[in-house]
Amino acid sequence: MEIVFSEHNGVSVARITGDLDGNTAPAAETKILEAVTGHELIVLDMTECGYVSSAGLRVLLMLGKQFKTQNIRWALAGVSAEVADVMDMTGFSSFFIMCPDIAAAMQTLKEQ
Amino acid sequence: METNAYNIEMQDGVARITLSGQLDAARAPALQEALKELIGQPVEKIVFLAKELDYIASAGLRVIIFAKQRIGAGAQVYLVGAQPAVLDVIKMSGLDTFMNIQEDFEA
Amino acid sequence: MLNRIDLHPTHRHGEFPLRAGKPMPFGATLVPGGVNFSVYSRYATSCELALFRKHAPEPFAIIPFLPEFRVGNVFAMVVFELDYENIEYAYRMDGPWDPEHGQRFDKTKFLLDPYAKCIGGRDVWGVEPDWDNVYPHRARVFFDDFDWEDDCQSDIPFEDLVVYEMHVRSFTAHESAKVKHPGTFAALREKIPYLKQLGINCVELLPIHEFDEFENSRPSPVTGERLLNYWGYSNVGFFAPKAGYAATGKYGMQVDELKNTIKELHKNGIEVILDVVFNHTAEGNERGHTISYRGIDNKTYYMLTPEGYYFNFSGCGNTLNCNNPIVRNMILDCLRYWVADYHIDGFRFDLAAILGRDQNGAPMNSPPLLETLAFDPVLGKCKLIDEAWDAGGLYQVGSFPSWGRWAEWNGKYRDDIRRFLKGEPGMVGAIAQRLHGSPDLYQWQNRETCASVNFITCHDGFTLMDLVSYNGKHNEANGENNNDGGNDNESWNCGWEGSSDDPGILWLRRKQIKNAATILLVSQGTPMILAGDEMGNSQNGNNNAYCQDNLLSWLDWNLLEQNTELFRFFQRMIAFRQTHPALRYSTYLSGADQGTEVSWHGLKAWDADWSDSSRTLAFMCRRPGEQDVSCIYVAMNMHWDAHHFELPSPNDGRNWHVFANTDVAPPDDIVEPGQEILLENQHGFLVGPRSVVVLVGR
Repeated sequence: MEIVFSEHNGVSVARITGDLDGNTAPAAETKILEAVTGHELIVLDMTECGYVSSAGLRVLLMLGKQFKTQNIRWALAGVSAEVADVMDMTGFSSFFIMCPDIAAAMQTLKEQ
Repeated sequence: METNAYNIEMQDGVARITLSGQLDAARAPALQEALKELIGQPVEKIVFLAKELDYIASAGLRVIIFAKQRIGAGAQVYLVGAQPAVLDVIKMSGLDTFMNIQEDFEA
Repeated sequence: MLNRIDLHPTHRHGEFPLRAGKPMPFGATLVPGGVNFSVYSRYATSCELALFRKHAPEPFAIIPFLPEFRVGNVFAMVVFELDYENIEYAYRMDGPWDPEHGQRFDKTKFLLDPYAKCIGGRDVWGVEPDWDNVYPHRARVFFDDFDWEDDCQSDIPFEDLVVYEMHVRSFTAHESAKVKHPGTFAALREKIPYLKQLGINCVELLPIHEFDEFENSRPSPVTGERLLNYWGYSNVGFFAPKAGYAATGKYGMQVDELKNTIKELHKNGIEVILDVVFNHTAEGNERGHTISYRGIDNKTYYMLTPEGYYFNFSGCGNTLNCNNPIVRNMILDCLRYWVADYHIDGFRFDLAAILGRDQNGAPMNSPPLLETLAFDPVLGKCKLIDEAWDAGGLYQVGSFPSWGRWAEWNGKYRDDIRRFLKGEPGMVGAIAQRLHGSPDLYQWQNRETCASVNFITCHDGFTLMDLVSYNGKHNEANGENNNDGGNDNESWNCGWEGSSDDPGILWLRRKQIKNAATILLVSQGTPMILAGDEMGNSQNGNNNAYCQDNLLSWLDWNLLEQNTELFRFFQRMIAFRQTHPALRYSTYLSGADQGTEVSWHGLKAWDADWSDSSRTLAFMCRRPGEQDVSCIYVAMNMHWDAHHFELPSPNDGRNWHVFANTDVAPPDDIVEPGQEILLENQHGFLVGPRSVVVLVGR
């Protein structure tokens, strides 16, 4: 798993490549939290993230909690149909804002 | 909180940790974090220089054990120059059996 | 935070660092850097931990518990550096093989942890298993954290509860349910708006602990279709949810899916009661499979005859040794876990009379297990409901040891109401008791109305539609020559056995369903409705559909359109009950203050006909509510002719208004609560044949 950070028009974008599972999730959480400090708008680009395990889901939920306490607005972009389905079935999807791509996510965040 | 409650020096396989003041639940975590830096280094001797240490609580004892466990099972642990009150605690808790207790330390 | 100093490896086995573990809690628990495995066995001489990669046929590591990893009768070890999300674990135990003395150790068997909190192996419902798998039911390690936010136990009093009994799969497996993932917890979540619309505030789920739907599976002699262990009254693991009921079972996320479903039900004011089966396990008798308990400690977990055979008080091959202290603690741990970790609101104990038998099978006066559960602090607010009989002939309705804490499925309520409904004479005395919360059964024990869970139908037996459509059971499809299922159904087909297009018969059947719904929902105690009865669901006369995973069991949601009038009737009756405190006393009503609380009437006011030939009864009950006094009169005529009932006065300048009259065609059979219509003749009412009338005084 790899995370690349970039910035577009004041929005911090973290692009996750690879699986988000028990082996990679704890590092992902730390890295993302470190990198986004000071930002107000964040998009997690999941386009290249093929698999999210139970531990992976937990990290996304944890990030959401932490962002909330820091008043950070955030969205997921490009979540695969399969991952979205898992979020839906487990009942966690209501915790996330999911957009088809980065552009849509940025739009959504700015309109909020 | 006092600053400089501990100081760590590493030289020729000997880790010297100078303790002072009170080593209690409030201060022990910081010491433990600092000691983690030594994990993986070739430490032969862990030396706690305790002359200035006035008080050690249960949390402090745990850090000493932690150091022994994590820095190297082969490393020798020394407690040097401990004041009577501190020494009493160490003896009562039975930790004296796994440490060398000395007045002075010459590497 | 300080790091613990007792979580560093002291030993190593192959690639795995180890150390002695903690004996409590039992099961596999995540600890920093590793997993703590702990398992009890009194008689095992040694134990090994086997680790499998997910779904792998063979283990990739077998780690023996060293002698220093044993505390008392517990093997406990921490294994570090495990990729816990992707492994499955089993135990192997060595010990004596001496069946005559109850010992059945076999060190070649891979055994499921009795405390496994997540179990794979039957991940997707109905997928044919690999019968040669050396480890068919596979324990997994699960990170059992969950964010419940502000969810808390709702603690609706028993008398305010309206229970809806359902099979998770049957409820939404039919395509007409129009859900994304049919037959799952996720689908149940999707159907919450329907439950709200109906007005129930509690679902009681048929077993959702891990079971094997393929246990005793066989082809049906009638249809050739495979018959399954569909109801699931046969536990593989008590701590794990049924993976096959989760849309995410294939990803191993059933725990989260179920928890979110419960959280959502709670958000909508609906409690969750689980049907739990602690009377036996899926291992069967001496010819059954060894899955777990038998190989871990046969003598502890099962009631054995002096010759070492299995007692069979459950009718399912074996009997769990519930009053053995080890098993008792396991049951307590299990229930506490479901309450604390899943926020379950209550339990219904299948064949609970077994839980009161001692280790030799004799009924006890103060069974320690039942007493423990009644007083347990964690279970302190949770509802405990017993099914007060077992297959060994023990029948304890009214005499189940309760300590004022246990409620029970009132089997006598079901039987008496059914007899009254079909027009049997000599029932009115019993019916008065049943409507009243059955004080004849419970008052002597200082139990109250809330001891009685009233039901006319449940999963076990006819559906309500079948109760009024069949005189006898029709269980041929079960492949047991129609010998299975109860014979004393007290049902009446209204003139023709089975489906009919005679408008008169259909009319009468619908009316009988409404009569049943009315009586159930005006009775003191806790009403329980079988899912689907509100839309006239039929099982074609099968009164024991325990093996039918098909259209016979699946709820056909098209019925909702065909039988709108039934749904509406149930919905309004439920709303009516919730509107009127007079129908929801928590303690027994006293007849001493005539007219202020409850009074009995017949064709003449103040003069009920208690004779043996009587088929008519009426009652009036009153109770001050928040805004107004709730005052209700219900007339029941189960005779085939219409009868004129003289009405008592509702007093205080009130007038009678008609809420429901089952003899009237819809939409005038029932109104919205509050919209009752003023009765022209305040002194009498002609109640139609086999009809019930409900009036409100205001």
